Amino acid sequence: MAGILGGLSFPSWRTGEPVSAHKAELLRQAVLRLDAVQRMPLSVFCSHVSFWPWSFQRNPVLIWRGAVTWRSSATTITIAVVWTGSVLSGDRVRVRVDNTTTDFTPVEGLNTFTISGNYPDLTVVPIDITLTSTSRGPGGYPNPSPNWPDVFVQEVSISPIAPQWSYPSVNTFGDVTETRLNNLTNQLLWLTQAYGMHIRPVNPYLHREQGNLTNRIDRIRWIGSFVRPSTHTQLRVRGHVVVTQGGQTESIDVLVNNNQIATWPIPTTIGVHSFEIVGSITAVAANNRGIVDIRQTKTAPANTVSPNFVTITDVSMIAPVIPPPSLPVWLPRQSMTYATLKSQFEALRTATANIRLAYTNTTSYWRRQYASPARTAKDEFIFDYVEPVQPHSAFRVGEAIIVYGEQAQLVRGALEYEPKDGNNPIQWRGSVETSLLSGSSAQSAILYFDTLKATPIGSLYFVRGKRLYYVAEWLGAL
Amino acid sequence: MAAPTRAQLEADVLQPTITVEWWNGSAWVDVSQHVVRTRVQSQLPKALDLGAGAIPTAAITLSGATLSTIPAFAPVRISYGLVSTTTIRRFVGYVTSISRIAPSPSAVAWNCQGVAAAIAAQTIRIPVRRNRPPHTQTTSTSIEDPNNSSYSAGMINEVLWRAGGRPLQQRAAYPTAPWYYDCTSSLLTPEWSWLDGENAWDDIARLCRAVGSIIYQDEGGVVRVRSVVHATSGSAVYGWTDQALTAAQRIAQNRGLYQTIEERRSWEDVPSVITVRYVRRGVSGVVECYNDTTARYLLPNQSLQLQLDSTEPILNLKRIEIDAASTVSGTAVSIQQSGVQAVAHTITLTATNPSNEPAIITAIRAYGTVVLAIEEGTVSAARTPTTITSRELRTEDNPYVQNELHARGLARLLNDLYGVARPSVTLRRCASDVDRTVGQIVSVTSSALGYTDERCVIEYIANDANSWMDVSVTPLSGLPQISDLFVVGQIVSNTTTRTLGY
Repeated sequence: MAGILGGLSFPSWRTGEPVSAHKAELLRQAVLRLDAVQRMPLSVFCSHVSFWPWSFQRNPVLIWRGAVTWRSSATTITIAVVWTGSVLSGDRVRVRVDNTTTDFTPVEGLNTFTISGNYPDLTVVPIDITLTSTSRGPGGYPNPSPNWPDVFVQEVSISPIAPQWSYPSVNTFGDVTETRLNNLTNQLLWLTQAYGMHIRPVNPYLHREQGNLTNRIDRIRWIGSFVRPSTHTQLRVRGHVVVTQGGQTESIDVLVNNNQIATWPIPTTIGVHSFEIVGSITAVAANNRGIVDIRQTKTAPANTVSPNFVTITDVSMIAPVIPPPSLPVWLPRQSMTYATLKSQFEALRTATANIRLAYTNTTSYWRRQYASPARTAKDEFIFDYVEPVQPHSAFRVGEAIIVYGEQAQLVRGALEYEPKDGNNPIQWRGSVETSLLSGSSAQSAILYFDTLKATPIGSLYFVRGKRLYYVAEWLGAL
Repeated sequence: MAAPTRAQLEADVLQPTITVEWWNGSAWVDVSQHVVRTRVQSQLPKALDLGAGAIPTAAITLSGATLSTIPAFAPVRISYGLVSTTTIRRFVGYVTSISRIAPSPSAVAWNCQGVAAAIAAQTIRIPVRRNRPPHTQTTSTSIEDPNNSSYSAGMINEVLWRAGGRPLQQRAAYPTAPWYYDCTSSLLTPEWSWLDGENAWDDIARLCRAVGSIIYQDEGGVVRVRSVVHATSGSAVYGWTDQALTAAQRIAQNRGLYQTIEERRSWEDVPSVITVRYVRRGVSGVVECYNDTTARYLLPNQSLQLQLDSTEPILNLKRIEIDAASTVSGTAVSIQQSGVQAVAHTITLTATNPSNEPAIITAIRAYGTVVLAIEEGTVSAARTPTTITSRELRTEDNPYVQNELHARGLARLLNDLYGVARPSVTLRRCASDVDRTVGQIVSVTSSALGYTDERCVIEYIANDANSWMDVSVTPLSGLPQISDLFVVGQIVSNTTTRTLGY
């Protein structure tokens, strides 16, 4: 399959057989793919999109809904919730995992809750996080009394994500023996499993349909978090803005841990403008957490004029572009000395060891797997009416797409949306559309991109739908 | 008595003996005293072409009318020796047809085929396996029994075992095996392999063609599977010459004589470009891998054995859905499934109607992951030096060639094999020699044709009544040998120059 880890094959070696150029080349290709994987952009956990949870002053109030794809090695679901403000005695964080509900008593500040889990591999597990309180007034828009403080979900993830067998060791490549070759192959297999088990969340991203929000524009923003792998040094935000109000002074500001790392002035000319904002995240120490806050601000003219419409399609950590390891190609019947043969295998071993080192230094990222939210929390489950629905979007790198919900369509090409009509959510239209799910109850599906038209590697796609709770990409291979 | 010695075999006068036995189901019956004539022939693939050699044949003429009524497909073996020596097996196979010959009604001709005929007559299914070598070296300790939990031998080894053969190197452990097999390592390995044909011999021949191997049965009844590089390797064990040598010289030089020699050099198989096609495969998601709407009628409590053929090999069968309804009430009937099994393309199960009313099955659907064909591609290799007239050799669509790297290796191998017009040399009227078998490396000397100890492989032997042999050989100059290649586990000095394999 054509995912970034797809199509890899791991040969076995036996004493007495010719040293196969075919097999050695398979190892070289595995090294190059793994080197690419450890440097590819990494998704940031999406706390939610659009409005802050404290905008939803109801009791109880759903503050995060989404899902995670279970992997067989995982044992624990971790939920991190930041509670900024006073905790009342009856306040609870209610976590529902696949219809099993657990209440946690929060404290002020960071709360880390864990729940044990054991599901079949590749099962999509739905997760809801709700605030409930016996100390606050009953629900009913707009205000329970007293109001909820600022609460947001910092992370929902499962762990550990890792092969359930030991990483084999290979000493410096001496003679070309069956044991050495098989151990080297198994190292690459192990690393491919370690990276390939990881499911990449495809987040729903901010799209503002209505800009008529007077002075609360800063509330429309994208919040998320990441644990920075040492390999990744920048945050990249991509999207586009439709400027219908020309001549305004607006910008998109990217903050990490409350420090602005990048800003992009929105053009003043009417039209569609794409953007890519990149800022350094090295101020966040490796394996530490960064809280991402992306805002659209308008300083002029007066706030009563609507800001322009922004769509964010991608928020990722990126690694510096460096050349891939230089490894000689293995050709059938290629002539060389035994010393050269050993040095070529040693080059493979060294490159593999470097990937392993990078993996070891970034296990805080790779050994956990983020859940991904269901579009916006502000939807019919909270308000009993349909709000604009953000499509999930991603630049395809995987072999297969995982979707969970009732109805979902993959949309490619020039994207436009239709205004809501009655109870229908916003339907995003594209020049190429493929149905992924079509049911009346939530279900999951794994669909290989090879079977979905017009989704080559690297292409931007959107997934829209009705009651669409989760989208992710499977890097595949194993 | 002992086996014939070289001195006996190279003597100017031979007194050949022939033993013919057939298996009556419980014992070997010796019919040697009825033998009028025998002719046995064995063959490698022509000019070291990849795949299978022709199945060995034997024609036995016997006197005795009762010998026309032996059971069908009776095992038979033919051995040659000399007076005062034991005999050596020259043919192992089955009687596949019997003719009675007029005007002498007591004369009977048994037409026999080698054990490959029995392999060909079997349907052997092997489940989908990933990166399993097509064939692996058989040794005295190699684990060849597929039921052994540590089994990891090649797919062809498994087919040969399931067909009844046992490894030659473990003969002592399996003294009653009907035949033996002997494999070398293979040069190339498909990522996915499976077997699900109606002719196991053809299936493994196809796999051999994909990985640069040949398969043949030798005179001793041993099925040999060798990579073409292994088949070309080794020193000559014997020589034929047109020099006038006395018996003593023939013994001392380990040579024999022939009466005529003929060389044929054909350009028909020499291409200017070799094109290898491949079909990349990968694992699908859970898909509908079988669907039919054949109406099947089931009485109450009746069971039906079903065999369903998927178009793609099944990796993991998830479930089978059967739509059925009572033919009386029209209500849906839940058909019970048992013994559900999916091996390669084939799903087998027993469907039972548990109701008290007759039911009709209206549809069957199977779901699972399959090894899906994803895309096709070709790899071309131009021959050097090229031919004057452009000729392209395109390989067959072989399901076991599955990626560009494999195709590239195979193209290079075919270039090495077919890159030059390789002559076929036929030696006629050689003295019968029970030590000669197809696949042996020998030398040929011909002052007329300019061959001096030319290293060759025996491609064909037809032995007439243990008196004369016609032998075809293929010269090996220019072909790679295993000693030209680096071998896993074989340690050489750092300055030794060799090549990679394919």
